[in-house]
Amino acid sequence: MSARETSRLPVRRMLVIPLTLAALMLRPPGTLTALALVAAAGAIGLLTPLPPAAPVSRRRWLIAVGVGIATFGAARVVVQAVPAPSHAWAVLGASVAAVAEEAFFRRLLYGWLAAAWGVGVAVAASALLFALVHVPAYGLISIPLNVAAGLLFGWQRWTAGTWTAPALTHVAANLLQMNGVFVL
Amino acid sequence: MRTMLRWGIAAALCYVAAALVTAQFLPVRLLYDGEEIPLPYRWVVRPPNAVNAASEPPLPGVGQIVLPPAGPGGGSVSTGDGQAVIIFVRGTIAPRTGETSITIRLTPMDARPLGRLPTGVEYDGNAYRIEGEYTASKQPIAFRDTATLILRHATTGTLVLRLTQGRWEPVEDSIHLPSFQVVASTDRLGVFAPGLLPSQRSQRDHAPWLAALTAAGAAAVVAVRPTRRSS
Repeated sequence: MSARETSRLPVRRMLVIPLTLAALMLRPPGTLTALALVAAAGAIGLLTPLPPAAPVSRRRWLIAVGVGIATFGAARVVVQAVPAPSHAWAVLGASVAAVAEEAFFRRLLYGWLAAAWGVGVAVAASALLFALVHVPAYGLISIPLNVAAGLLFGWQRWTAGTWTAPALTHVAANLLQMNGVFVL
Repeated sequence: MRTMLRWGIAAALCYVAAALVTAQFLPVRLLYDGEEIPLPYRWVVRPPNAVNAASEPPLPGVGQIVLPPAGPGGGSVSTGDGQAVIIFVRGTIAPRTGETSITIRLTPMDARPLGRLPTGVEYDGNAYRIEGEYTASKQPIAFRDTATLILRHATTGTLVLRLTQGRWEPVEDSIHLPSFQVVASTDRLGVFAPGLLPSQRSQRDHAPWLAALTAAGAAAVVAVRPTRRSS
């Protein structure tokens, strides 16, 4: 199957996407159940087969990760943000959630959308849906921020040719939000 | 490659701009996924029915914020266990002649004997007395804008309570964050505690089952292999 061969998303994909998005929206925020649900979404994103992708350029991957981490670092410096708790479980939870979300949004969802409708739609739609699933937990006020983050992750996916670039950046972005108090 | 880089820089600027604009309206948390195993809560006086309670006592906090022009004028002070944090952005504290810094103290207290709760509201953690003074003169600090208060809650807290003349009152703009924290803006220091409305807790109890069912449905659809049609 070539990248443009699929003119529409098959029924199977039409079921997986809304069901997983619904599970992410309904997760009870800040709980172990939520972490398990995000991990499940990540497993779906990671284990669902996709058509073979083009080889990854190491230079492009490094540029994508560099721009991404620099952006989240800069935002952390210029905005006096609410610090997140920092303890070993928070680090683990934030890292697992970041990788899992990227496996679903930037690997599976982006991969399907890009194959069906092209990169532009894949970047925009994955960013919008990424923002949407965060609304129940963070409120409508989070939409601009999360759409912008989703666009940046989508750009990384496009530039690097792999979801691992946004995944690493997302982990770094989460860890950058933690305060200096580390409780074991 | 240049086109790609241009798009990347545009996306990066878009994110920083979104963060700056959002921060003008609310105490903002930048992109963060707070799905975690909650640490046990440190109580001053552990309630008999407490779940996930730590055996260690809560820790106080003290810190200084350097005022302009000697320093940035903004910063945060946290308790040693991270259960209470107060954030001052540049310009929150009124400058004072001869003062180069303020000192902030956060002291955990048992909330129950301090005041009466509004109907239908429960405590969901310790009270914290937050005091601040100009470091040299020891005079109380004067606010020019609001500071942001963040309290860790024990179970499912949804609001910040402020002690006012022997009564606990909800702070109007309280918001709940997924990382077991409630956040509110305040234009004065005092005594604060995390609170919850039990009705909101019961509404949230249904969501995990529905979420688990939909996730299981998605996994089942992925697991089913499509049958090939012969032409």
